[in-house]
Amino acid sequence: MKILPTLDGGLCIIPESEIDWQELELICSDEDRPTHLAASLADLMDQDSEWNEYVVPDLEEDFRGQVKAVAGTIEKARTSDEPAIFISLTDAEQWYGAINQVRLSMHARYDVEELSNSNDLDDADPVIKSAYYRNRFYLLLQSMLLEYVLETD
Amino acid sequence: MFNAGMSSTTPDTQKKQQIQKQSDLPWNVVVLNDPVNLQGYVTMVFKKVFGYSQAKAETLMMEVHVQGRSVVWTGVREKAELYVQQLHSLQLQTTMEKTG
Repeated sequence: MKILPTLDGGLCIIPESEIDWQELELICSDEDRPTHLAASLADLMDQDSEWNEYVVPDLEEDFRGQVKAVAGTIEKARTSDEPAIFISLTDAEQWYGAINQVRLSMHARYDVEELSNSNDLDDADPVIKSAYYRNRFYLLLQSMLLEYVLETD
Repeated sequence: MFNAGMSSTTPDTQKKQQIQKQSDLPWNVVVLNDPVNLQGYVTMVFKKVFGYSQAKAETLMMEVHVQGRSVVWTGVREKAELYVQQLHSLQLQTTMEKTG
């Protein structure tokens, strides 16, 4: 897979294999993720704040919107004549948010950030090892979005 | 004695005054550390949401990173809630607490 900054201040992702496409599609794989994230943020608030009633539905809708937008872009790119994904400045926040949802979810499930040295990784369960590499890829994509698109002032 | 009766307060009045005083206290918006959000992203969010300078945003971000939490804003409850809502929508682990 190639990820390149574009002249108009965006990013271009060029998947080169089926696995590349799958890695990208997994950003949008879990339909319950937005609900869990909104609920976990609400848990940080005082019960008296009525956060669950007034704020969580909007948060959930925002998070779901991020995933839906990214899924739509990937699907459209996959079926185009020259398959490439273009992320403009206006789309970048949604991409960053959707990827962040995956990383938060993977951290909660596998604690992948803890697998920092290769010895840990050699002994790790294949599922966790796979999650570790996916997390690394998503982290790289987020870093590029931040460096080349979002934080350019 | 000058109007002594007017200055005395009943226990009920004192309680009401105490409650009023507490609800008038400012609220802190507190961002908590998490292992996923990137430092550059957190700095960018502080600049965007609060309009802080790069230097102030970086200082607060480092406080979150090193100390595990940082009070990023203090003020009236309604505005604090609005800020928390914005920070939640940007996926930062945030809560609010009353000062004092």
